[in-house]
Amino acid sequence: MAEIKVNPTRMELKKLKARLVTARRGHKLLKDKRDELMRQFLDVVREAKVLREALCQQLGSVYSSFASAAALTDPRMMTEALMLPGIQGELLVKQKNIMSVYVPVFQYEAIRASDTGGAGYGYAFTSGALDEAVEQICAASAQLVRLAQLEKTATLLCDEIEKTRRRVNALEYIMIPQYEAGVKTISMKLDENERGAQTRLMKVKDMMIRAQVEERRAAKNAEE
Amino acid sequence: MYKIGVIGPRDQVLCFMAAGFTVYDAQSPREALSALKRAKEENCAILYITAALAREIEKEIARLSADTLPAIVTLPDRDSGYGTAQLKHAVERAVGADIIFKD
Repeated sequence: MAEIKVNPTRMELKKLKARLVTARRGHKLLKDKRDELMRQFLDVVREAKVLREALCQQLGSVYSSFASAAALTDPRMMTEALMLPGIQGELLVKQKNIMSVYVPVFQYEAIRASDTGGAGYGYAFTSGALDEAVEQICAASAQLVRLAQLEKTATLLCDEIEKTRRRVNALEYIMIPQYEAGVKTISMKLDENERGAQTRLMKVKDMMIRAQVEERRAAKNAEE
Repeated sequence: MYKIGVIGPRDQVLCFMAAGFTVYDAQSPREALSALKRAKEENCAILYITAALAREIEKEIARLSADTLPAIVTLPDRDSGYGTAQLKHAVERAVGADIIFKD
């Protein structure tokens, strides 16, 4: 791991310690964010899975009845029949904030186009299978919208979890150890300097005492 | 108001017209891509796309669905299992291992 280069001064040490504290706090926060995102993500995915499986079954039968209707009906008649939808869906989109990820919330309201509750076309020129398909698809539309919301939420949360995890790991395994190493290097260097200065002082004092002793001895000899 | 779009070969997705969805006919991946862009411009909040086409233009879909809207979703169908595979992939990316779809 590449260590950061720092000047071994008290100023740098103070700065580095402050950054270490911030990094630790950020790491804790991001870790909490990741855990919460993960919890929400798993809930969403579980629901999406169940819904998708149910819709696969439901729409599978729609496709087959629609295919048989299409085989029996003139394509132009078919398009004409479906031109006027049986239900008119109203889609409202809101946004929800999950741990600073904006996910869409779809509100879907299906309104029947005709009061009689029947399809929006005449039954004379179309096959019975079409009625069935249309009925089923109208019933499934709200669920389809719900599935879209869940899957979109899952995708957005997934991206955010990936990013947050990278950040947490970068802080945990790169930034924090680097700062710790920096703090350690500086404090060791400072201690070393202090010890050096102390020894130097002791040495100087020693030399001074020795010089005084020499001086006194020389004066004594001169008197004698 | 937002619209709901369905992209796919006309004979497969025409039935969604009955539910009031806007149908964009696309026979090939190239057509699907232009339909996708057109639908985005036309204020579609939700876009369903058939699994066969979605598989071909996976990267473009990922790029276009980076924002909150539109939600681009694979149409559920019985055989392909592509939508489920995508969910599974998302779980693997987020968690690191598949803990929901394992059988």
